[in-house]
Amino acid sequence: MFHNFGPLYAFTLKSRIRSKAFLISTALTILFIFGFTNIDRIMSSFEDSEQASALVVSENTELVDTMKSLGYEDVASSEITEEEARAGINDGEYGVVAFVDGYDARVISERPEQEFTTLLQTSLQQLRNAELIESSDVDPAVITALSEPIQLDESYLGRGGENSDELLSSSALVYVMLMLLYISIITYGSMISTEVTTEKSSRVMELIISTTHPVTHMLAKVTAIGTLALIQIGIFLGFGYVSASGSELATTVIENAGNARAVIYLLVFFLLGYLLYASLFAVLGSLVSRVEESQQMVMPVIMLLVAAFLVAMFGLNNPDATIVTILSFVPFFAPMLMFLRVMLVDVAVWEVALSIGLLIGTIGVTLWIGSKFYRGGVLFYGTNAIKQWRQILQNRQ
Amino acid sequence: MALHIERVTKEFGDFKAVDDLTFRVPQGEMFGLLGANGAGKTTTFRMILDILKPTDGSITWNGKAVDHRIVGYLPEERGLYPKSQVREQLVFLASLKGMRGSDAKRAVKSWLERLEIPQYETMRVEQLSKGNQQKIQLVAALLHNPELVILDEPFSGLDPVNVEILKREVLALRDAGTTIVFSSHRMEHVEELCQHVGILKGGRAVVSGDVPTIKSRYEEPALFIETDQIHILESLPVVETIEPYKSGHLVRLHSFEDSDAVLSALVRHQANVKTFMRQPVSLNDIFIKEVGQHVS
Repeated sequence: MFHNFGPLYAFTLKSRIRSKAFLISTALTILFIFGFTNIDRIMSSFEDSEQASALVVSENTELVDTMKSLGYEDVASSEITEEEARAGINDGEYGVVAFVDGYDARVISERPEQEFTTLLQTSLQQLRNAELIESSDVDPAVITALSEPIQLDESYLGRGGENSDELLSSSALVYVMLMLLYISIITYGSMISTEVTTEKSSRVMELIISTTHPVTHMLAKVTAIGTLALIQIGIFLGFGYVSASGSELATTVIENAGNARAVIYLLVFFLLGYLLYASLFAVLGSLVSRVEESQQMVMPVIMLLVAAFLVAMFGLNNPDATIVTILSFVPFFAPMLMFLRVMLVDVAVWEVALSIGLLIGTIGVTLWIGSKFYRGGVLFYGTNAIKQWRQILQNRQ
Repeated sequence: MALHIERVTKEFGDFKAVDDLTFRVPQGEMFGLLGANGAGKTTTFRMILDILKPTDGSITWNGKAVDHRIVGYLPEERGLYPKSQVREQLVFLASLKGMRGSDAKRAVKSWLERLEIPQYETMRVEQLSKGNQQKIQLVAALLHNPELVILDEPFSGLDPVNVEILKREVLALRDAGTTIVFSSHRMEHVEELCQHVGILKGGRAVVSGDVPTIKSRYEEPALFIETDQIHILESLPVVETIEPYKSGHLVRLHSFEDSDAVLSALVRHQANVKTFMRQPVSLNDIFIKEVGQHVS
């Protein structure tokens, strides 16, 4: 039955890897990853870091020194009038002028100078506080004690981690994995249905199906695109690791990923989830004859996937919720939700085994029913596959 | 060695696409399967290829089930990967037939040269003209040196020069001992190439056998005459009907033995005769008579 699996697998993988679409999407995603992981550095490089040249008109001689001590370099004391200030700003002689009366201030500038106003406000506040403390004769130690934060240590007994830092890092890993599962199933799943539909619409299918069992063809497509997914995700993760190295999120995720248990569950649920959805996509792709129709056909499956993803996002903060527990046994939700549960809460071994068992069983049933439709579907060039399902099944008797 | 189609029926639900079809093609012969659109030709081909299972009856090659590796197939709806390189996909399609990569590469080269298109080896299929894509498709069918070749409408879409190249190759294949089954709407091609034909109507074979025998069965005593005095023949008792045909007239007789009487009447009246010949029966006539419609 698996006759010709090898050539089909190799040809599909090779043509996909060499396609322009693959090269472009890989390059764009790498660019996106680079941008995402270096967002801070990129943003700061675009920020206008030059401070506007500032003048302060104030009787308080300490104000300029305080501002300088807080980091505003280009500031000086001056005695100019408001008219002179306006003219100077218009001429570009200075960027911003503040008129300070007591602890109240009026700022004139060409456009908002947020850094200046924030530092001016902080400086005035500091000076006023100092004056108030000095005049009211309060022990400075009391003032220090008042502003000290309360220490709160939490301990969690669940799976996710012993304290909030660990919980955050395992949630981050689960989040990354859920995103990966969701995006890759949609991307590679629709790639499979498109691939099958393209072979049908270009009529190559007739040649292939005369030499190869339809189920072998379907499995070769699913595994070839699966391999492509692993290669592409491998490239992204490798690049993401290099690009993000040093950032806090990357460090915690990598520490967790070093945990063998997490890696094994990740792989198992990723592969089973991919297999289930990919075989569905392949069968749906076989039922239509044009690529545009295939997008429409796979919509219900994508909706199912979106539903699973939304429940999983909710489950990130509520891994104990009943709906999450129940749906973690339902095969179409299990890859995301059971993974989420084993990572964040205590789950009995039988529960995981049952969920995986149901998932494998459903994949088997999907492949079996799918193969019946696939055999007839690949030769079906009608317009309404749903209405004509009987004819599709009769196509091969 | 032969292809045997024995009482094969294929039903899709209530619809009978092929109904009790029987024919045999001896090795090294060419069999023409004719029929209007929807007559069951492609369904028959798909059953030979085991893409479809017959509801009833059997299809065998030398007494055994047909092994896909000995069959070459040119489908009616041409199918190639538009974005793939010519050589690459030919090697891939050959590998599905069990051919080794290095053998396939050599065969691709030699076939492209035979069909006078070696320059397309590394081009993408979508860059080629329709006619050249069709040649590539033919190479895909023949690359693995099949014993049985099925050609579904091999000449459609080709210009006259390429039709001749293709005919030459098909005849060379037959002479080398390959058994060929093909369908065509072009009766003159079938007549020229095939020893045996079968005409399908509504899934049933209405005519089947070797071409000369079928023709003799359908031959009618008729003469094609071009003359300026056709009215002379109207009063002859041996003449049944006279009807205008092409640039002259078709004169139907009781029997060909009456031809002499017609000729002597024309000579006697010193008529100016440009053409006087037995009207041959063509497959096209037989087809129209049996299927009851013109083929497009």
